[in-house]
Amino acid sequence: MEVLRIRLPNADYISDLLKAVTAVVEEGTFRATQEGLRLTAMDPAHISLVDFELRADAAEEYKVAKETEITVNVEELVKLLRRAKKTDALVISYDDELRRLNVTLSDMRGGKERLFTLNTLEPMGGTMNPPSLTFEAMARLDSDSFYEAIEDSKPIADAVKITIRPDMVVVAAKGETKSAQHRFVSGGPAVHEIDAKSEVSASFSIAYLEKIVKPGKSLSDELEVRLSTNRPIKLSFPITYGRLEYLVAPRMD
Amino acid sequence: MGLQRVAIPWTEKYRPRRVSEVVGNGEAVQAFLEWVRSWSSGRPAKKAALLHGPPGTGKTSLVIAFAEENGYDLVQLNASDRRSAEDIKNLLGQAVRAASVFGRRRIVLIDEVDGLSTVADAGGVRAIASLIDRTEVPIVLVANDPWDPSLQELRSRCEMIGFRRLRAKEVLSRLEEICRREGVSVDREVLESIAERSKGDMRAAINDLQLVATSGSDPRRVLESIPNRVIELNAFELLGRIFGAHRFSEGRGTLANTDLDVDTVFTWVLDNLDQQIRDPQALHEAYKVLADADLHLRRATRLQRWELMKYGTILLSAGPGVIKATVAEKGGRFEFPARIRFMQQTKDVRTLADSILTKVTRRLHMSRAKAAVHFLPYLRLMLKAGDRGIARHFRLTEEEIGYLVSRAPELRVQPAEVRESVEERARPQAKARRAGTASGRSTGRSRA
Repeated sequence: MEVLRIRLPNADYISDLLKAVTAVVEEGTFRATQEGLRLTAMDPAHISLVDFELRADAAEEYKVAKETEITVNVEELVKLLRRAKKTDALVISYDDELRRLNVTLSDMRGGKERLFTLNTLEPMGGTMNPPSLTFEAMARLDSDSFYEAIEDSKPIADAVKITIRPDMVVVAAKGETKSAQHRFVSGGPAVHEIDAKSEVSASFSIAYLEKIVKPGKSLSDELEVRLSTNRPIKLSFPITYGRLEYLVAPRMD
Repeated sequence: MGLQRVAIPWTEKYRPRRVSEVVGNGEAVQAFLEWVRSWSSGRPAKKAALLHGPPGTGKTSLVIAFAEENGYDLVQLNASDRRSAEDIKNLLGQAVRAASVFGRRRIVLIDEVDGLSTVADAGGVRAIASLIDRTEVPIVLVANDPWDPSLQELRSRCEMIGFRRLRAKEVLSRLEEICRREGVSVDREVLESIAERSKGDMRAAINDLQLVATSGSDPRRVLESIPNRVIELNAFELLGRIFGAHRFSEGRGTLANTDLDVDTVFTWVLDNLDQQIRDPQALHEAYKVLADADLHLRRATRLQRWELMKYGTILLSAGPGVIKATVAEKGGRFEFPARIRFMQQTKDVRTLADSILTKVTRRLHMSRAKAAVHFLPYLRLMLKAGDRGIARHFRLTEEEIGYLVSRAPELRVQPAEVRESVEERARPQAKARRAGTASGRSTGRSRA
């Protein structure tokens, strides 16, 4: 029986969103409810977590006959969605008997329809809820500027120290013979808001931050960073009709 | 109709959830707990532990149960995952240095490291060794046979914790408990027979039980239809069998139960012989038997007359035990052959010497043996005197020149470990090793 049907005006947006999910996991379990489609998953090393949601009102048509869980290889799904042309409308549906995801790309003007199918996977460990964390400081930054700071740190070290102070945000990398420091001053163009009572900082693997911020910055100009001393960092990319949030655990050394 | 869901295997359903549910191997469990707890008071001397022993003895289960019970975050790399050096670095390189998202302590578990030596996992062992050097969290490795030469780098970095086959009684009590919890009744006699034939492999026993209990037909009939398991003995177990065989008929079949090659077994038996048989007369007999075995094995390989192999393997597998039985000695602990260890440690130097000989013989049209004895000493002197022309003539690399200039004529590198054990041993041992070397025996086992 077809238990899920989502119709979107084009495939670009969802495939960019899912591409951002694959920064953390290759495969994952979506929960389809009346409210929308949600996926929360950790990478195999349990260092990062993605919390993704596409709300029902993002779609032209959104029908869930029965709440259901769908485990798919997200990377493969993105590959299929990338085949879409600008003019293609997209329908994603799921059959819980054949346990198969159908992806239909229809070109209205060309009168052409393409159908792809993707077998779902056996769920591994089921779905999870993100940990509830409280944060000591928050900053809203320009996502491109933040990405640049990460990229600048790459030749220096494999970890960056992120500091939020009441007056600025600092991204610093320190190698044996070289170092780099990015300061985003409150009131400057790259900083939209800072909310911190005192200085808070923690270090994170550049590889993880880069994987997450790279696709995220093309989905949202703004990035919300929430931080506590030596606790996981939360990176949120505000998107319309949904949620794209990440947690990354700090380095221990 | 949806696709048929496969019933949960009982091995999974009844996997221990707490350390106290792990059956048997009390000492090993204790050793593991001590090691992992030592992390809470700073870094232990060994940052990794290698749990080794036959399949189905609770190695992996212990780690999973411990993590679950104590709220550790378990990051696991299984044999079914891709495990090239690159994959290991990507996945675990971060895991050993970063905290977990949920803020819990972490254990990294790498299963079946003895399966790493295949081509697809090339460099995997090196990658794990460097993980251990850098790790901030406990790393647990699991292996059936940790004595493979390729795992030397890991052994030296790990707390070695050995697991033994479970006793039939231990297996039996777990089977009975599972029957009770499943609400099925199976004859005690059948359970006993399952426990017996499992040969101390709990996983095998539980699988057999599930098959018998859920098949719906006569349990005895079902049991009869399951072929007897061929158990793979590791080198230590194999030695136990060989030296423990009091009669010819007990010893002759032992080599069928291992995937070690005959050459490796020979080296193991030879190196342990003088510790197992102390009586000089009996030891003399035993060396004679091994010498005969060696002769047959050499002929078989050299002449490609494989039918001769059986004479060698029979002498090797049944000889030492029978002779040992005549003197009724207890015998010491089995040891890792010093010879294999020595060859591993000198591999780099030997490769270098080899490449020099290749270059020299190509130019001089003489055999390697002759070049080594009659020519290399002069080459060495010329190089020492600063003759670079001769080096260019043979196209020697800087490294090779360095070797020739600095090393004494023979390969005289004897690492501390080997020297110690040689001095400890009785004289006949040294003699035997020379004999073994002279026959040009190949070392290690190849697992192509």
